[in-house]
Formats: sequence, C-alpha cells, structure tokens
Amino acid sequence: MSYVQIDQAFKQYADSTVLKQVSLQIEKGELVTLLGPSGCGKSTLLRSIAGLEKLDGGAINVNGNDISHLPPQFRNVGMVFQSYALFPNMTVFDNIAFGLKMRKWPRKEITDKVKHMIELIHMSDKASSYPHQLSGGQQQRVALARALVTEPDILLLDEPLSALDAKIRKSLQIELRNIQRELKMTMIFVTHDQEEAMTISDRIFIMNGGEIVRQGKPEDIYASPKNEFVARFIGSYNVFTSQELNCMTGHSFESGNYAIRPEVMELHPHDSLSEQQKSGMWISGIIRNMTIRGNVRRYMIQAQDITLWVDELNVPQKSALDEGLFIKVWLSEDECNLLE
Amino acid sequence: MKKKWVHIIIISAVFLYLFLPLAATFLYSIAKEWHNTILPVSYTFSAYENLYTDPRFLQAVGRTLLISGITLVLSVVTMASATFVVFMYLPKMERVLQALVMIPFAVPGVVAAVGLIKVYSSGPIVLSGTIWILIGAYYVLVLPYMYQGIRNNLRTIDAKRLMEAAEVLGASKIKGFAFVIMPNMVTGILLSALLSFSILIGEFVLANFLIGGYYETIQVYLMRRLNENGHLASSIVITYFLTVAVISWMMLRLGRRFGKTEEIKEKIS
Repeated sequence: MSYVQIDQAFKQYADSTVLKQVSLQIEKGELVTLLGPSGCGKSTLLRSIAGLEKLDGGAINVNGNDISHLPPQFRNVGMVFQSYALFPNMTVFDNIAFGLKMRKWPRKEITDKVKHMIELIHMSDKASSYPHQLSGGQQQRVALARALVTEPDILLLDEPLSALDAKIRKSLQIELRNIQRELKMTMIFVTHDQEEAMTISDRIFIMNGGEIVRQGKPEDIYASPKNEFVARFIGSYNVFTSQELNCMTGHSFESGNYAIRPEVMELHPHDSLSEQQKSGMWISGIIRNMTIRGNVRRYMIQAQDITLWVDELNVPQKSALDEGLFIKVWLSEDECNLLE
Repeated sequence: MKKKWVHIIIISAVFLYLFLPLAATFLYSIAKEWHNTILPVSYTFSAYENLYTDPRFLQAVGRTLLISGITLVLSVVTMASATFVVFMYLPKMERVLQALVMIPFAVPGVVAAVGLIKVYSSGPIVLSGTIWILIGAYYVLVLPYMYQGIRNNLRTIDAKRLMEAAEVLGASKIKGFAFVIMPNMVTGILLSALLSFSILIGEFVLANFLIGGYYETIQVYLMRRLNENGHLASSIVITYFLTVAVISWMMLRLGRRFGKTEEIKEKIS
C-alpha cells in the first residue's frame, strides 16, 4: 500500500460534482502536484485530505490509517494556505509554536524546535515580529515553518506561492524543494501554474472537471500529453485534426487528433533550398504575428486556413523574421503525437 | 494656490458654524454676569458644581451606566457567538439575521415602547415596571451596530481561514475560537460596543416611556432639569458633548488599530 492512498474520492455540491471518484497513490517523501485550471477540484481534494471538506464517498489513507472521518486536528497533516492565514495577534515565534502548544509539548522543547524552524527559514532576526511587519515572501516562509514544525505525515500546500511576485516565487520554489528534500517530507502541492508544477514536482496529477486526466513525471507528461486537454494546458501545444495535418503537409495521417510542440518546428525562408536537403514534412505559410517571450520568439503562422504556433530560441545570431513574410515550416513526422 | 484658499475658507466656515454655538453654550454655562457685552463680564463654575454634586444626577448616571452595561454585556456575549456561528457554519442564516437587525430601523421608538408595555404588562412574562424591559428594548436597539461591527470584523480578519489554519494545527473549535478568533475580534467588538454605548446614553424615548417615572436615567434627568435655568441647561449640554467626544476619540483610536488589521489583509491579498 502506498504512503498516501486516495480511493474513489467523491464530492458533490448541490447539482455539481466536484470530485468524480478520484483515486491516486503517493509514495513517502514524494512531492506531487495537483495541477489544473480553476474549478477542476484540486483545492477541494486537498481540503478533503486536510479534513476541511467532508467527502461524500471514498476513502483517504495516510501511512496505513484511514483518516477519512477524522476531524482536521487529529489527521496530523500540515497545511499552507494561499493567503498564509498567519494569526495576526501572534508573533512569528508564537505562530510557529501554536501547533506544538496545541499538542501540549513541554515548553523547553517548543522553544528549541521553534528556534530550529526559524533558522531553517532564515528568519532569526524576525522572531518577535508580527505578521503585518513582514513581506509577503517572509509571511509565506513563516506559514511553511508553522506547518512543518509539528512534523506532519504530509504537508498540503494550496497555491502557496501564487500571491507572490515572480522573482520571490521562483526563489521560494527552490527553497521549498530544498526543505522538502532535507526533511524527506511528503508534500502535495496545488497550483494552476504548469511551469511551477514542472519545476518542483516529482510527479504531476493533472485534473480537469473533477477527474485526474493524466499523471506522471513532469518530463513524461510534457513529452507525451496523451490527450487534448493536457496538450493544450501543459505546454501551448498545437493540436490538429488528421485532416488539417494532411491538408498542410500533403501526407496521409491516421484518423484522430495530433499534438505538436511549438519548439520542434523550424522556420525557413520560402526561397531557401533546405527542402531538398532535409527530409521531413514541409508546410508553407505566412507569418501573421511574432511576440518575444524572454528567451523565446513565438510566431503565429497561417498555413491555408489553419493557425499554428512555432517557438524559436531568441538568440542574437539569428534575427527575428518579419510579419507578413512567406516561410516554410519544417516538421518531423515523429513529433506528431496521436492523442487519445 | 487660489484653490487652496477656497478650501481653507470653506473648511473654516464649516468649523465656525459647528463650533460657535458650542462655544457660546460653554461660555453661557460658565457665565456669572452676561447682559450687553460680547463676552461675559464674570465667570463661575457653579452650574457644573450644582450639576455634579446633585445626588440625583450621580444616581441617574449610575443607573444609565448599569442599564447600558448590562445591555452591552448581554449583546456582546450573545451577538459575538451568534454572529460567529452564523458566519462560519450557517452562512445561509445570514439573511435571517440581517432582517432581524433591521427591526429597530423599521419600528419607531414610540410605537415600540407602547407595544412593549402592552405585551409585557401581563403574563406569561411580566417585565413592565422593571429595568429588564428597558434592557430588552436597548438590546434590540443596538442589534444592528453590534451585528454589523462584529460581522465586518470577522470578514476583515478572514476568520474562516484562520479557524481552518488553527484546526489543521491541532486546535479544537473551542480552542481555535478562544486563542485565535477572539483575540482578533476584540478591537471590532470594542468599537461596536462604544458606538452602541454612545447611542444608548443619548436615547430618550424608550427610557422615558418604559421606566422614566420610577427609574430616572440620565436622559430623563437631563430633560427634566433643562427647563430649570439656562446656565444649568448649558452645562448639561456641554457635559453630554464632552462624554460623546471622549467616546468618539476612543472609537477613532480603536478604528486605527482596526485599520492596521485591514492593512495585513491588503498585503496578503
């Protein structure tokens, strides 16, 4: 049996089903991410594990114990909220010590443990500060320490970084991952940011409409999205029907939908001779738009009536192509992923 | 620059309009001789001395404090817990509570007083002739201020999230309420209680109708003595104004603390 095992979790609000018989297994020491758009049920699933939502069906087992019907205070899970939920009337020290006080730890041990946690989050100089005296990033670190200090069986993180600016978010992603590895803590992280999920997770569970539609390692999910929703959600894939591909390439594809990563295609000038030198498929089109996305240039190409997106590395050696230019797009047949 | 002067003139005019009658009342309350001069010829605090040494005045103050105090304690205890439970666990009941707290605005004081006397003059519960009928009426009167204040406070501190965090950390619902929610509600409750108190000490209609004759509260006492002499009436007005001013100042101070909590929320969101 896995360390965390959720079987057939079911939850309904009035006439809408939020969780449709969701099942998943997580091993000890893993950091997994529940990834999906707003309203897909990921936060409800997380809150159900914490005991803050009551399931209408199914079971949750952690470390061999069925916790499905326990109130939150007896589940031994930690939780970090998007809004931090620090207690405004308590200092950093007291916020972190709260869980230990509730567990009636001896005073001396509480002091030692809390001091250790404050050092772990590099906030020794802020121990007596109140939450309103801290920045957003500092508040979230305190919330993390407060959740970790009770040594929970699992730590649940409900979009903990989404209220922070990009720079702090990225540094906290790394800090969170380091702490998780150091403590070998089992963590379930909820986010709607696919890049964040890719960065920090051992495994990703992609949810849509109350179901898990794909699960696996980040690299596997990205390389092989399997279905149209994942392809569109995870990596700005181009999704074409076989007829569209046949029409653009002149090849004959098996019936179905195909996903093509925007970065596997190459752009060549319309009059270049590369078509004769390079084997593969060629699509003629016109550049309709180009946007710079940091290290990548994203082109919107119109081929007949079909729009496709092509990413190109933004390097100074290669200048950007102008809008309105006729071009040829090279594509390998191996990069066309047939979707379920 | 021109605009700035216009602002100063308007603000000064408004300030004078509000302040002059009060200043004149104060001057008259301490005037000994004031006939045909702009300012009084001589001054005395005898009106205040007369007022503050009157045992009836002190008794009336004590009665008002007692009635207001009991009302506020009852209101704080019941409304804080009721509002918390409805806010946290029975959100659909909020509409019922909101409709209930509108009653004092819907029923005029005189109508309420006559109705209460009629209902509580005979069984099953006879309250007419006791202070409890006034306390009951005052309880209803301050409902909207207590309810709105406490509810806004719960929203400002994001009580739901705090309670969830406390529970996940191992606190029972009672401990979560006692250690996390309650300390963060104190400012809001104090603010609501002070606002309610300032309304209660100025309330005359219910006090006069329900128990005016045999349990003289400050409002009834003041109304009776207003007609005795002008200097005393002025000293009563100034005393009342100062009391309300002190309460307002305390409310502003607390409001600033309340504002700090909102800043935290803004930072978080």
